[in-house]
Order: sequence, then structure tokens, then C-alpha cells
Amino acid sequence: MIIDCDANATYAPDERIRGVISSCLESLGNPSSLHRGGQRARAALEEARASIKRVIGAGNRDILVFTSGATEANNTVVAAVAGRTGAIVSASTEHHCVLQPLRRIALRGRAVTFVSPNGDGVITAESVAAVVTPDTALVSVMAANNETGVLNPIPAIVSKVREIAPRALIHTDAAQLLGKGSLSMKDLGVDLLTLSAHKIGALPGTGALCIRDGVHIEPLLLGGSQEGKLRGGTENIFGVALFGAVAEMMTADLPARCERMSALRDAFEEQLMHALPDVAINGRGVARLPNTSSVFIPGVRADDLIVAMDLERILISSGAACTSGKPEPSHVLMAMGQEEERTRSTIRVSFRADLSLEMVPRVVRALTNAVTRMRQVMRNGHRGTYVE
Amino acid sequence: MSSEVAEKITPKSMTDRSIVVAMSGGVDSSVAAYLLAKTGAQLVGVSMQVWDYKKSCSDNSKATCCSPADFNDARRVAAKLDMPYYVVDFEAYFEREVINRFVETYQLGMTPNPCIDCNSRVKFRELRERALSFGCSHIATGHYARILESADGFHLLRGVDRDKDQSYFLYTCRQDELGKTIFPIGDYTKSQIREIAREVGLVTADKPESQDICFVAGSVQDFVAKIGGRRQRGDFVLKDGTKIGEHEGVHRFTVGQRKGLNIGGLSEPLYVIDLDPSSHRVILGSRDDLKRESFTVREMHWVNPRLIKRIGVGESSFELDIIVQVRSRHHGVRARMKVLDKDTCSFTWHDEWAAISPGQAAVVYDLQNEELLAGGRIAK
Repeated sequence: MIIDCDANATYAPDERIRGVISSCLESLGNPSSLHRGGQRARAALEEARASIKRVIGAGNRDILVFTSGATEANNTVVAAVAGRTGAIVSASTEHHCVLQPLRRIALRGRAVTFVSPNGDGVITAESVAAVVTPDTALVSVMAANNETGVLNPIPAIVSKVREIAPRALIHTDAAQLLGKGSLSMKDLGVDLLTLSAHKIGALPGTGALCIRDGVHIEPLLLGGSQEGKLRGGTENIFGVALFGAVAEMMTADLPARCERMSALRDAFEEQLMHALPDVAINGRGVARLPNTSSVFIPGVRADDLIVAMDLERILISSGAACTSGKPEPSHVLMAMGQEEERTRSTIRVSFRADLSLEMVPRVVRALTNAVTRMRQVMRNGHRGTYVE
Repeated sequence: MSSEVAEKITPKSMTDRSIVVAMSGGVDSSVAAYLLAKTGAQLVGVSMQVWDYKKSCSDNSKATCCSPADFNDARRVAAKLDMPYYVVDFEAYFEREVINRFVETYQLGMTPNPCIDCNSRVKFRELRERALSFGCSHIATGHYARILESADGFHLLRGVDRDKDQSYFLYTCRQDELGKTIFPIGDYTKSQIREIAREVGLVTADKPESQDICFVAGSVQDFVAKIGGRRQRGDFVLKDGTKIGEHEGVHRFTVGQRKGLNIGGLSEPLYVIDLDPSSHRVILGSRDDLKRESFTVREMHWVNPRLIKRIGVGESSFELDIIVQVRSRHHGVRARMKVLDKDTCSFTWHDEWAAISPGQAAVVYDLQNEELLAGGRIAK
């Protein structure tokens, strides 16, 4: 049995989700076709759109555009303001799919300011307000951080920004918040909001950008007139239909899900701190996602720990997923002012709602055993000076 | 770390999956993994990310092994054998312990052997330490060499395939390392290994041989110039100091080298007989000028258990008739080894002699040319 404690990387579909997959297959077709095959696909597409808008508390006239994922949605936002004037404000803790497109336009001469978080990883409304000016064109701050789970005070940021720069577009990447906390486009007050389907158990390669009524942006992908001419390309109808179905399912018992996840997370942190008193949990004192624990474990290499845990069939991560075997230090933890060495000893444990509470002691025990073993290896066979 | 510690920190529950297999994505390590998997051993495949080819070569496709494409091959082999597989980052460590020494040695007018540094400083230390961290007690590699356990300890033998034998690169292995290392392909010939790979259907079966130095995609000389950052032209001179031409830098030459000098019009072939990095001179002469009656080897590592014992009790100034191999592609010739102290030996040729290059390894075998006894670096 595999114990999956890496839900923030991707949320593998559970049995209930698998149960609706075949019905979503029924909707396969080209929504732009006039015939009944097309009509069926079109109906499924609009059904999913309505579901997701309901789930994220979007207004009736707000526009939800399906994309190939959060990365495309975030790139769309950056590309949309690239052609306008005015400075851009974002945060140094954002996901790379916000940071990289912003860095590119910064290299081309655009003024982009990345706000640093406080020591807990929070981007405060004050720190954003301090750099916003009346001609700021875009403010983009994520709702919840993927590595630490720390929540940013989006409504407070929005109200500060509106005071200073009424014309600025305000965007939040809510990929990690969906399914792990209440999410309301209206309450957040943003103009643009990014979603990802696979973070809640639907398919990778599916996402959405919600655009508040009255906000106009240029499409990133030009092609046919799909998605109200806001995103060319035949819709990923299977992925979108599943996204809609899973979003509905997940929202129906959201409070109970969150409760289960925070019970897992709290038990994990309590037991781990008992077993290894020198660990430190990032952002423990501030509002966080209920499922995420970012743990600094002195004297071990996070990447080795991930391998050791995987060999025990327990999946964890060291922050952002990396396939190259050449892990960069976490830019999120570095932005929080931590030393590189500390970031390389930090793991991320992110729980699924359906993990049994009885598994937590097993996870803690495996982690403790591996850490104890590694510290022993470090002591006895010090790298480079190979002590007998 | 001693083997007892390795034993202790390996929980009993893990003994049935205790081998880390170093996988480069080539056919040898793929078959090594297959042969072990067949025994029912539980394995963990590891590829070592050691070098970013972009640092030395603009064309990644020229990389000879350990490129991302090779890792994908290793990944496919691991998946076929149903074993977990990880790419582990060794770049900073490899750069410090292997690359920098490689470049510096060339710049000092000596000839380095990075494969030996990689084995002794990366594979048998760093990788083994990672293995222990993962809860694995042993490491296995695709080297053509054999380990024989006997009452007095572990003996390191040449691989059965003499053309492919890689024991030369392993002379720094210590007893505790040999005890925790497995060379699954040492009893096979290369053609048998390829045959096995084809039979089993491993994707790496027909991959071409990797080049001598895995991290150099183009020429060694260009690599040294690029990474070392220094280029100093100098003169070709004869023994008597007569200048007969110019060259692009002493790092481009190895003592004993005959090809690639680009000097013509002389009656007999010229060899590099010495390098002087301080005056940037490459000294040329005849093959006979390369002959040394004897030579000294330092930084000795003792591999054979009996010799370890003799050295360990402080015995020195003894002499042995042995076979000494002075390059990776050298069959080894008979010589008399005089042990001066635990770190130093001198060698005197019997009848046949070989050109030696300071910096290269001199590796000592028994008179059957079968068991590796010791090794060290040829002094300048």
C-alpha cells in the first residue's frame, strides 16, 4: 500500500472520482459541431462551466475560460498586461508559472516588483500597498502557497490596492486553495482567478481562468472562436467535464474534508515534534491550508529523505516537484529569508482528505527512523572526509 | 565508515532490499541490475547527476553518457525490472572532487585519471553514503571486475573479459568497501552482456560504447582550456633545448604521446618525453628517451589482504616481483616492486618496459596478472 502524502503535487483520483470518469467520456465530442455529437459536448462543457463558477462563488456575468492548466491561465494574465502600460506588482513566493513570465517581461524593460514575504511566508497587505502606485497595471498574489500552505490575505490586499490604484487588475492564483478551503471570487474581490483541475483529483492539463464581469483581457492563444474568443483551440471536453464533476463533488463536503485534513496535519505535526524535538514548521503560527506541513529537519538532506520515504512507500516532497535530479533550493523558503542549507533540509508533507488518521503514526515512525539513520550516516561517514 | 556500522544502521526489515545499483543508462549497468534482479534481491536504481554538459559543451547531444536521455533509458530499464529508480544530484561534489582535480592535473603537466577519482571519491564514498541513508547496505556497479571473498578478506580480481577489464580504475577500493560492493558482470564478457540485454529486451542493449571520459563531450584539450580558463602557448623543444615548433598549451599533451604533434620533416618519430608547465615547454625526443630504469609511485593504496597486513604491522623495505599496469589500456609488464613505506614504492622493469606518464595510476597485479594487489600515482 502506498501512503500518499504529496497531495499538493497532484491529487490522485479516489474511487468516487473514478466512478464518474466513464460518464464524462460520454461527453466526448467537438463542442463547436452543429450536430448532436457537438451539442452533447457543448452541453457538458457549459454544465462544467456553471458548476465551477458556482463552486468558486463567481457572479453570473463573470467569465470562466477553460485552459490547459494553471500555467496557461497565469501566462494569459501576464501576456494580457504585457501590452499595456503601468508597473506590475507580484510576490517572490509565487509559483514559477507566474514568476517566469513576469521575469521575461521585466527583462524586456517592464517595471516588475516582487514583494517579499514576512518570516512566516505571508505577503501582507501593507507590503503590497507600499509598492503599488496609482499607475500600477497588475497586482498578482497567490491565495495559498504550494510549498508552505501559507494563506495570503487577499481581501485585505485587494482593498488596499483599490484605494491606491483603482484601475489596476488584481489577480490571484488559487490553484492550491481550491478544495482545501472556502474559495469565493466575490469575497476575495479579485478581477482574475486561476484554477487547476488536477490539484483536486481531476486531470492534469485542465485549468481555468475566471475573469470578473467588466474586465477585458486579450487571449493568449489565438485560433477559433472557442471560449468566447478568449482561448482558441478545441476544448479539452473530457478534462473539463471531469473538472466540473469533481469540483461539485468536492464542494459538497468541503467543511468535513478540511476538518479531516487539518486533523491529519495537526496529529502529524504534534507527533513529529514529539519524536524529533529539533524540527521547525514553517508558517505554523499563521493561517495555512489545512493539509500542508513544511518541515525543516536539521541534519538531513531533504532529497535523500524523499527517496528513503519512497522506499517505505510513503510519498512526500521537498517543495516544488523536480524531475531533473538537480534540485534548486526552494525559492519560497529563500524568499522567507532562510539559509540555503536550511531549505535543502526542508520537506513538504501534504495530506489527502481520505487518508486514515491511523496512518499518521506510521508516517511519523518512518520519517523518524529515516532521519535517525541519516544523521548517523552523516556523523560516521562525513562527506569528503570519509571517517573510519 | 566501517562495515559494522553499515550493518547496524541497516534495519533487519530492510535486508531484503538492500542494494543500490548505480545506473548510467548504458548496457553494462543495465545488465548488472538485471542479473541482480534475477536473484530476487530487492534493488534501488540510482543515476548520478554529475555534470551539466552546458558548462563545457554547447551541444548536449554529444554527451557520452549520464545525459538526461541516458537517464530516461536507465529509468525504462528500472521500470522493466520493477525496481524503484532515482536520479541523485552529485554535481557540486563531482565538480570539486573530479573535474577540478582533472583540470589542475593537466595544467601541472601531468596526466589525470578522473575515473579513478570518480570511483574513490564519488561512487565508493558519496554513493555508498547515500545508499546507507536510503537504508541499503550494498552498492552494485557495472564494472568489469570481480570480488572474491576468502578467509583473510576480500580480493579484487580482473574481469573475465580482459579487453574490458576495469579493475585498474578500482585500486583505491578498501576492504570495507569491497565487502559491501557487488560487480555482477565481472564474470561475463562484453558480448555475453550484450546478448543478455538483447534476450531480455533491455532498451540499452545496442547502445554504443561510452567514451573514455564521461563528462567530456568534445576533446579533452578543449574541455581543459574551457573549464581551466587558461591558455598559454609555448615551444616544442628537443632535449638539448633546440626549439622546433610551437604548441597551444602544455595541457594538450601527455608524456608518451606521439600522435597530434603536427611536427614533420624529421627522420625518426618524435614522442613527448617531458612537460614543463612553468616554462610552457613540451620536450620531444625518441622512444628510447621515454625509457626510465625505475620510477616512483606515491599515494599507495593497498588492496590485497595479505599486503594490507604486512604494511599494517609496519613492515617496509620488502620487495616483490609483480605485474605493473601503467595506463588504462596497457596489458601490464613484469617489474620488481620495492616498498619504501606505506605510501611509496619504487619499480624497476624486468625486461619489457613501458612509457610512463606522471599523474597516471600504476596498478600492481600478481604474477598471474589476475589479482589486483595495490596501486598509486606515478610521481613526476
